[in-house]
Amino acid sequence: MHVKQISRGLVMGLKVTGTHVFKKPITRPYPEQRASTPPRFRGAHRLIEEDCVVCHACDRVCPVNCIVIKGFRGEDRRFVLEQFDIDYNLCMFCNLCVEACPPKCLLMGPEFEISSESHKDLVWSIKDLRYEKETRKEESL
Amino acid sequence: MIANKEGITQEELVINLGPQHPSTHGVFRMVLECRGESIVGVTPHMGYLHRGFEKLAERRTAVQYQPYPDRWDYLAAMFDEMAYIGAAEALLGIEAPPRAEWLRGIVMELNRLSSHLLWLGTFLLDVGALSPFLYTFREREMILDLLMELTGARLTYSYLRFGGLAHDAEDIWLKKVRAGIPYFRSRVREYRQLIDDNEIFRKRVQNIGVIDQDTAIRYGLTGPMLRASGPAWDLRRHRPYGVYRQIETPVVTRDKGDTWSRYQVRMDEMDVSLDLLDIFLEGIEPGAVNAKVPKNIKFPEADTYFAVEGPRGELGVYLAGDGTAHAKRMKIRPPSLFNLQVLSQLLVGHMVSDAVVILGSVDIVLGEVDR
Repeated sequence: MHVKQISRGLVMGLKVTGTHVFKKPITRPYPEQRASTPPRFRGAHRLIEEDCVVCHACDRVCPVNCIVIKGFRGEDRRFVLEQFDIDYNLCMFCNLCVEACPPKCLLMGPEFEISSESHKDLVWSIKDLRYEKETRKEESL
Repeated sequence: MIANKEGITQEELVINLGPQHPSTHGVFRMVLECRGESIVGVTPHMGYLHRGFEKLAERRTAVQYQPYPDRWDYLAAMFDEMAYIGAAEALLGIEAPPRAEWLRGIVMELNRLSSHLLWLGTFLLDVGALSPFLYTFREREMILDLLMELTGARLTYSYLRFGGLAHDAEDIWLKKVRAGIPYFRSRVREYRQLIDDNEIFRKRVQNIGVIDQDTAIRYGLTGPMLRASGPAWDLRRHRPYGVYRQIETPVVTRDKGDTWSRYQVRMDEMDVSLDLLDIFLEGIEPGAVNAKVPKNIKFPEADTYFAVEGPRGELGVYLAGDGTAHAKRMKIRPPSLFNLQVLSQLLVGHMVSDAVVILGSVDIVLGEVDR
């Protein structure tokens, strides 16, 4: 009786294992094959520099204060961005800054491989964050 | 053990399990006092993952605090968000539109599934079975992919907002969830085929770590831990919130209160979650997902307690305001912490190898215990 019970359990379990023997693996070898990132994925920021109006909305809403913004009023009385730093040592990718941005010039892209060798390199400035409008249009198409 | 002249006397041996032992599911340390192979005393040590989330609520504005609940219990972040947002909504007198409530129900049940799947995999790993872990992680990954597509992140969703949601769900996403349900149902059946009849597993879990009904109630256990001992107490049914007000959630219970019952309750709850997902997908209606919310949110001078039924039990948030944008005080009632209290009573009398199994059956998440 007891042996019957044990062997029944074993056979039931092995049946499930057996069905998987001939299936393809579902794991992806990561560096060779890129991980999929859906359109809403919250990765590294992207900044459309010329649209920024230096309103500090993203800076104010940021829970960890990882954004530093400086700007001045240009000749045509428009604000010009001088400094826009995001400190990825602190950032927790919560998307609040993107939601707060009135001209929608701060976005979050699919880039997630942002690790670096030093803490200093994790502070991204305008030139790291810069993103052209045209490429955005192409991507949306 | 020290041997002396007269014969052999036994001394208690102290074993340090954790804080970095893989079977402790996080940075949890317990000091076991053993006499031979059996345990005579347990001293749990917590607090290795303390990050001060309750104090942070007093330092951040209400809006700024929205992403933080994700970090309490990182395996079931939607419930933490719901608890905080629900408490704040109750305090502010905001009500989310119907579509948002339905969607909250969908993402919460999906999250409950993913949390139970992770529990099942790691619990069986504790017992000594390796392959179910790989199976459950395959399915969990699918759920996380679904949630990532909707919210943008795998674990820290940051999806619920005061009076609604961050994004609306597209029809194609809802279709994907609908298509996934029969698949997940067949997978749950497959796990049960694989595990239930296994004699080794049964021997390891049956009549191990028994909690009787009285003890369970006295220790304030909630969730599957409580329901495995008999009482049918589920907040989704007995103190409903959001979309659960419109439906009657079936409550899964078992009587024996051992590790086997806790396993069965969680397995049946996965089926219940899938049934609920069917109902939610049927009932979801088109419409807005965000209610009108004032731009500068200020908590009024009042306090409230709001609790949701998480995968581990009653997850509550006590929130008090003082007329500013910051909370005056916030207190979290994490289910894992309360469920963990019974551990010292559970382990005594069992073998050391059972300690790992029993701890696994409690289903703790240290991010939530230590906050």
